[in-house]
Amino acid sequence: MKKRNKSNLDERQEQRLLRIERNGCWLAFWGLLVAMGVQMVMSKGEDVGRVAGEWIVFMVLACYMVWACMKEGIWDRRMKPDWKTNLIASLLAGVAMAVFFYLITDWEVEQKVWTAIVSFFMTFVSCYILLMISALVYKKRVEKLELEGDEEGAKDD
Amino acid sequence: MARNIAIKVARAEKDMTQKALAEAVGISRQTMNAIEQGDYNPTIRLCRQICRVLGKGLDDLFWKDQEDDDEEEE
Repeated sequence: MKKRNKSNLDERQEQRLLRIERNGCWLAFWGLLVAMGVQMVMSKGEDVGRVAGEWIVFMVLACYMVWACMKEGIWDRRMKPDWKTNLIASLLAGVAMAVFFYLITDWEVEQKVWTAIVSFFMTFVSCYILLMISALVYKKRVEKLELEGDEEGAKDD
Repeated sequence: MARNIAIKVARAEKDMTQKALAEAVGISRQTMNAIEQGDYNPTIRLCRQICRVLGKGLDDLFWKDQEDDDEEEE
């Protein structure tokens, strides 16, 4: 296999660059989310196609990060993949979507409230199911990685 | 992190500047400075390279007693 070009950076500079790239990645992630949100609120939910480009980039970024973390057996720095944490996260996502849909709809207050309630439940349920499935996949992946580690260790012994 | 005086002393014994040591090890002068200032914690691989160039052991340049670590944490 052809050797990659030697890096110009030493290990400290490499770490710094990784940190800069990490910050840039999160800036793009949250920036895209805010940009989409603002555009949809401004247009009162009409002409959703205008945010299609941002949405595609955002989803590709999100999917890549989920896939890469799963592959490495990583969940989160602080949160645990249990039902309680997933429930709280889903509730928060539900509340955020309820507020968002209340803001972007341009109807009577009663209709806006119902839209918010429906979007809350839909987001909450779908988020919770997705998080629980992801937690299950994550646990299976960690088990597999542990087994692979044991096999490697046995070979070395 | 506390300053690494041992590296500075060993470097002075060899009459080497930070730049010369950095070049011999294959890192930037800023990184060498960060190690001496205690702002960067080098990998074991880089520690070994520094030791090799300065003709010292890992214990001489990078070992710290438990009390030193406790003092730093406080």
